[in-house]
Amino acid sequence: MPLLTVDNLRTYYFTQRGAIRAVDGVSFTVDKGQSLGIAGESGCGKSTVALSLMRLIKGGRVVEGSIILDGLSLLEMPQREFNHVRWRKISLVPQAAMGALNPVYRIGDQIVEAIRAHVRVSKPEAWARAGELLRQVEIDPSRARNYPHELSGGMCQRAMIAMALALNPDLVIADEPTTALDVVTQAQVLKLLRRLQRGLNLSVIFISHDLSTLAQASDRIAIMYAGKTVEIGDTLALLRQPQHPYTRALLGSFPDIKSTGRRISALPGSPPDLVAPPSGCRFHPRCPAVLGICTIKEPAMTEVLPRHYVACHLPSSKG
Amino acid sequence: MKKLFPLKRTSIFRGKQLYVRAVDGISFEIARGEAFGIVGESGSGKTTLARLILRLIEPTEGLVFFRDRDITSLNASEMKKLRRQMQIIFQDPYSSLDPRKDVFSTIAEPLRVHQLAGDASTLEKKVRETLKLVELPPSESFTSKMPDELSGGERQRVGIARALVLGPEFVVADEPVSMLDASVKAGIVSLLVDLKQKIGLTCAFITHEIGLAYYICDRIAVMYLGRIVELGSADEIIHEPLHPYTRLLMEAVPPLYPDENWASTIVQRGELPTGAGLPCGCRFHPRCTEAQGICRNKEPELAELKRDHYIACHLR
Amino acid sequence: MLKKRRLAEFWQIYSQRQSAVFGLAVVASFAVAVILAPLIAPYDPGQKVGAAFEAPSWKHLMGTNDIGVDVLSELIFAGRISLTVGIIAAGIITLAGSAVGIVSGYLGGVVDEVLMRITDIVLTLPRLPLMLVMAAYLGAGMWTIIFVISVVGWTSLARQVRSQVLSVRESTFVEAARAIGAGNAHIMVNSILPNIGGIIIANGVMEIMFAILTEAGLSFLGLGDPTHKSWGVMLYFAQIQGAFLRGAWWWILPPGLCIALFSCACNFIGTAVNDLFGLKLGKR
Repeated sequence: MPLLTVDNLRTYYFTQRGAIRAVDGVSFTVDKGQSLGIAGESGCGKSTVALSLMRLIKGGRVVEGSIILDGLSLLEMPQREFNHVRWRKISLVPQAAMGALNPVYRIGDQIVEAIRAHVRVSKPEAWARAGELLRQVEIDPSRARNYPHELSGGMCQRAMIAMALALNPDLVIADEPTTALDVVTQAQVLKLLRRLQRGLNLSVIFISHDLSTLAQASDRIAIMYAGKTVEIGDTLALLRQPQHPYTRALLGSFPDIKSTGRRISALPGSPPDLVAPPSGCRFHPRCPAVLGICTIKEPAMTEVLPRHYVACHLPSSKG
Repeated sequence: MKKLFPLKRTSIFRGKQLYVRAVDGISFEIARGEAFGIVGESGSGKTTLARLILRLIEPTEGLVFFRDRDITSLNASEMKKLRRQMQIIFQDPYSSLDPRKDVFSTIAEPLRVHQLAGDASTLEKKVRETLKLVELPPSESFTSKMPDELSGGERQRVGIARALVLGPEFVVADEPVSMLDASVKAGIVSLLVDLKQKIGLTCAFITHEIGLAYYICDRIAVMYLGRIVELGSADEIIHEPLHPYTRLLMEAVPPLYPDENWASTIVQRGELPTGAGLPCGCRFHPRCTEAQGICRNKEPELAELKRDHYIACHLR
Repeated sequence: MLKKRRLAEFWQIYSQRQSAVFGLAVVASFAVAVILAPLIAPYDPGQKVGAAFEAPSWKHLMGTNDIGVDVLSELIFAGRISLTVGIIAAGIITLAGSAVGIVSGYLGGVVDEVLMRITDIVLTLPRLPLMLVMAAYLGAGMWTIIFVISVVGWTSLARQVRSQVLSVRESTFVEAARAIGAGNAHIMVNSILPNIGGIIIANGVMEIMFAILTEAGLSFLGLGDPTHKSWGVMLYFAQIQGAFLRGAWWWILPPGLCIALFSCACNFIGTAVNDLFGLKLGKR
């Protein structure tokens, strides 16, 4: 029984121009203690998925689909009930930690605030818990008395992770947690997240545009394009044998230091307008192997290899 | 043949009594037709260096030579003429284009500034040629577009077109793809490589992504906190890094396949110091696993260790 | 670069605000009425056409004043003066204030210091007494009023423009212009000015409001030009000729309402333009 089941999630934003179909039929599962990476470029909907899970969508709403977390249907429950679930069972590490922290409060205060907003504990108890959490993310607990600007970028990010772990959730969503960090700090934070995931048997949804980051941080990867998932599979299998042309193109666009002389491949065009996306498969205007059927019929996610799903009309090939 | 010959250079930004030594004693040469990579993380001074090379910021000390000519002592009008030969591509495609100018005006502006516009049809021709060079449609419907109607990749190409329209010999590319999506990045990187071959462009490529530098550049300089710590051919820097910092960088880059052993030694290596407080002696010593006594006391000089491979370290 | 499409977009957002459309309608109507004054005014405002202090009637829609002149006709012609003074003074203020703001903000350093200190000095001088003294010294008249309003009013715009320039100056595209080799003058005109145009227009419109109200005030105090009657001068005469005492509201209300209405309209337009450009900037 997976911990989280997302089925046919559709989240639209409503603007003057029309409905932006940011997430348009996304389904995936996350098992207990497993890390799922969601990869895609800007505008593919990955952050919207995260916000939908946390019921934090502004200017739009979830128009269809279900989210089942540990047997609870997150979308159907009334707001009061969900407030009880939020942060206790599912929490979020938002993008750009430095900006997510209030500059005029100390780190400790902010973690304490997050705790006391959800459970009735005394301030000393909350402070003690905050110290514990900081230790867990490898920050000296005495730093709780520091302000955000006194901490480095990596430490701020870790403080946000600490905040997300405050109430021992089952699932943590990390939205581009290492994007703004230097490569060395990034490595440290990634390793930390992996350790936490394994040590606490935590489920993680790791959102990133960087496939190499996800290669290290997640057990399974879901590739998103234009509001839809196009491929989902175990990390090693997906990276070694990518089935979808977009996944292949994405992999091809990373310069690989380890091998010499490999040319990076460019993908022409740009992601489609989500108010009026292309007919059939949304990737077809940019696909190097497009067939006639691709312009008419949207491909469904099918299991082409064990635990490896692709939404594509092309016959599956060996990557 | 020597193209760019910057000598010892120091730039110090004042903050009351404290100085932030953004670029602190850098010397290197770039040969004609070469793609020279400058790799560093934030705070390494690479952005400042980019602007110093082009004299968009004045150096506190030191000289920059372009074609054996000292550009740091030129006056404003001489400098203006020289700018036709040396241009810059900026990092952020979303803020480097004037939001009130359409594509045509943005690319035409350099020509107008230098009175090279000629009549309307000549100007149009030049703009269209440059657009073709960066693989953008030279049509009227495209040139009348405003920046907010363009994608990130298109904007960056317009920025490149603007840099190339005057036909410069030398271009500084300041993190030209770091704000673009992966698939778009590849396109721009390919474009730059093509341009280097097609028009023999000499280029200083600044980035924090060492993999990219390897792909594009012939030689690479690795910067740390205002100084160059290692300098050599791209192949050697990537495959045989000598300086502990370069090694750290190489180790920190995640490979495109899951690797349990990746970055296992990185765990507690501290982070970049911030602000004006620099470590004494070798700037990297607090994070260096091999640091010795001498590293704490004396700053190492950049010295040639192997042929054309320089390193600033006491331990090699 | 304004193009039809841009204009259409601009209008689409602008017209969503009722107050903005109302303001524009009012200003347009006033402008038209005032230009067509000789055609639409029922009588010649210089001629006695009825008894003094006649109440409004079908013959004289707004009654007559103390010397038997038709108030409506006088009102329309006075509009010419009020609007002219308002627009010219606002124009001078906008030009001078923008120039100072842009030069000061962009060049910085000594130039900025000097210009800002001058601005400070002008700002700290008490406005009304200063205007009264200058007007008294230069003699009553339309151009005196324009001069006086301009001298005192440019500072606020200068400061606002300067602060906008300070932020635009740091943009990458300005740095790009320098990298191309553009000189300061070129950058100020081609890169800075177009990007703060919105603020200048919005404030310029507000300055019209400021100018008209100030003119009305000065005229009411007797410093206006009696040979070129503005709405404010009408009120002045109304006051000294006893309209208030006699209850001749038809002489007082119309000019007062015109001043208020026009100012209000300018305010609406200015606010809407301000928000619109703020929206456009934040649209990214």
